[in-house]
Amino acid sequence: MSPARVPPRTLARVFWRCLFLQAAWNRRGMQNLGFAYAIEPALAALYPEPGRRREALERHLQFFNCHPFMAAAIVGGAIHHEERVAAGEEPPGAAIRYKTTLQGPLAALGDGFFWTALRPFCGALGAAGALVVGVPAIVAAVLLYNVIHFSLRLGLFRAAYRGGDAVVPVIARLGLPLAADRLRAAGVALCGVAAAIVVLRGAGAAGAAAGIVAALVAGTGYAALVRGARLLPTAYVAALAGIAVAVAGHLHWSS
Amino acid sequence: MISLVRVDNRLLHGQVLETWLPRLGVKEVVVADDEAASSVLARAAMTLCVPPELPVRIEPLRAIDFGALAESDRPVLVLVRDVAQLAEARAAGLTPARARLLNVGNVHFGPGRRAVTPSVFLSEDEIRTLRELAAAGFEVEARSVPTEAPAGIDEIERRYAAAR
Repeated sequence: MSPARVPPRTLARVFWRCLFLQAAWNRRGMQNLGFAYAIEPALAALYPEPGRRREALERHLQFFNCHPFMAAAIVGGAIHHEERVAAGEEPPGAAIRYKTTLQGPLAALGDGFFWTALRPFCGALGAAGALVVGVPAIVAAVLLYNVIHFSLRLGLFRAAYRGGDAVVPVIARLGLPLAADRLRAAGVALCGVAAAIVVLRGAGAAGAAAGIVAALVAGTGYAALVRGARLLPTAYVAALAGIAVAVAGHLHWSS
Repeated sequence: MISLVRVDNRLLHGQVLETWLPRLGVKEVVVADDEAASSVLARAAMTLCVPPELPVRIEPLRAIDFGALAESDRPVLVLVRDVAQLAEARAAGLTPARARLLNVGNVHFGPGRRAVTPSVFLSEDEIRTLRELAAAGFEVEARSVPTEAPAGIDEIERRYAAAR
């Protein structure tokens, strides 16, 4: 029997299906249906015999949950192992062991890098940029985010398909936790820039008093956060206070 | 000191790193799991996903010295894979004086299991184990992240009985 390989066209289909990993998210298996749906074309290519194909699909229906972007590495690596299972080089559980071992750590990496660093950074970039150049900055920020996450997904999928377990050192070399720290710091700085632009614009449009009030509201909000106030209520109160002061000032000066 | 002992089928993942660690000020994570300890892949993956300043130890459950962890100055979070491992940990020296709080965070669905929270599906055996741990003086709670309202042992039993 020739060594079982998944054709490149099929790999492309699997990668495309990875993008819909969470479409059938459910409490019992979480991303299990999405994972089985994504890997199904590869299993069909590796196991032409219906009985074995069914068995393979069933093992990939077990619980799965990971960060949706990092999961590309798990789908790619699972195919790497399934090729060896189909060729009789590894036991049937090899791909499952790979999945269950990596889902947690890669989810942690993805949550830390994408959800708490890259996405807020791009949001802050769009917000600060929009104040300066308008809508194009928002388009650019959305593009930047998607180019980065899409190329990482594709790269991880390919590296894991080729190397299997060897994808872990590849991911380690990306240095995602450190990059996340830097992106978070840069995002915070951008938010500061955006706030400064708002204060300066306010002062320019409505006089120095408006600028001072805006700076006071922002400063009070910051002090509250430092003292341990919760983020969202504080932000809402600060925004409402700012609006109230603006309306009061407008009524006062226009009467 | 042991800040928390947590049951999580996925062991180390985003909920632990992004929510529990900052909430409890944890400075060290101990993964007490025989399978993870013997897997090169698991050790490599768990080591790379944590921030460089946070030490992670991955050891077989029987190799954990709970007394030493409890006496250390550093707040530690201990992760075990399932509820049965909690009973194992107790046999290995975990006492309420060393770790008061036992958190059941994620236990996946399987045949014969019922939902007690959106992320925790327990079997009758596991309910019994948790009741014994509570009777021994541990505070047992089910919740995946700190912002969720915790369900204590009575609530866990009530929900288990009410679930189909």
